Amino acid sequence: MVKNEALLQERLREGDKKALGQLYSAYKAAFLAYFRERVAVGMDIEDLYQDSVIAVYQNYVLNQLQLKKGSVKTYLFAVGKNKLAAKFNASKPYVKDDVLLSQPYFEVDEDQMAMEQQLLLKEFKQLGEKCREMLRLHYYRGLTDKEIVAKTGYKDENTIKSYRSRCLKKLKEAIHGSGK
Amino acid sequence: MEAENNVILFRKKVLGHLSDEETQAFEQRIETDKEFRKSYFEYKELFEVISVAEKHELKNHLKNLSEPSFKKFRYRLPIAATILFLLGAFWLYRFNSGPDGLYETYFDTYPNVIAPATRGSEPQNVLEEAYRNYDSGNFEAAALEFEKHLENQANSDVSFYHAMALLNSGQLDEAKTILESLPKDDPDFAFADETQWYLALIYLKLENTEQTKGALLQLETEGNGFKADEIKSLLSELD
Repeated sequence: MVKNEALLQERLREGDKKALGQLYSAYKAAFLAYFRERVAVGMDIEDLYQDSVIAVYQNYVLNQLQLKKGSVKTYLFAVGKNKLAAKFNASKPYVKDDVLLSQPYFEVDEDQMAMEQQLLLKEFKQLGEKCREMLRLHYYRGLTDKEIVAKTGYKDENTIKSYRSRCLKKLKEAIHGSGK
Repeated sequence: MEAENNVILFRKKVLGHLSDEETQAFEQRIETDKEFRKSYFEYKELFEVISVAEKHELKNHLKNLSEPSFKKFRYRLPIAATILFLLGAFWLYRFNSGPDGLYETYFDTYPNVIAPATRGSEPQNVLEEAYRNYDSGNFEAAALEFEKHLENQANSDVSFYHAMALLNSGQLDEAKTILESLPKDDPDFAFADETQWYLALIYLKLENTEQTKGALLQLETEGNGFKADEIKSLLSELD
């Protein structure tokens, strides 16, 4: 059990990696026990748990979740159940739990990614760490250049802009270079 | 990306944060404005890719968290043995060729690409004089002139050549101090990769192999391909 759940949620919204670690260790035992009873032997429950924790974390960051119903724990379990349902019945839509229905939910189905997007993913991963971070903060986190300056300590907004466009150019060149 | 101006809108759309009204307006624009449509799909593609890349990164992070410590130790043991072996091999290697030899092999004078001397024209100021001397191989004189120019006007590109002049006249420590102070991420600075390369060579000359490797690996992953082949072969010689 987490002592200060409101604080944990606040830190999850901010994308704090330590909060991710805290979430991960807080509910691991309960989650594994619950799901082990409900699924066939041999299924990798720990893997399911990790994926669920990540989905919760990413949704806190992207959707700035403010749970209207339930706790982080019920939300995490609902995500786990959905993932499980999706795994065994891929053609049907996810089971919608109350706690999920009341919230926006985002997750990319990797199996549905087109070849071009797979290539983009590969090249993105090969960018330098700073470039990845620069693109991530802007396009994914949606931070303004001003906020990025404050977060990263780069000189000013113009520096951020031109650095980012260099990174984007690098990514595009890499894709064309690999014979798309 | 043309999406630059529309990032906030596009992000809201991808995440399903638009109101019904906004969604309607958005769909209408997608239908009619080809450029808008194209940049939206480009954005969406990148957004999803970054999301998946982050997911993979977090997964590794969690896997590390869940690995019991004795397991970690089990992995560490061979790593420690490898490091010891490499250290041993390195000491042996030093007796044979030594970093000095490697430094000589890989070092070359960086060309003057800023103000190549034009035949016949006289240098107009101390900076031109410095580049002229640099071109002619009078590195000590060039170093003094670069320094003089920089007293009045700080500039990273000029500082880079100041460091190069010092390096070529054997003033390693001075060159190192300057190179280490140059910005790594300033897009206006034209010689970031070069700076990193020469720093790696200086560390090599100073017999600091770990720092050399660190600098080379960083250049390899974050650089723009400058000296890519040399980096690879030098790294393999250091291993």
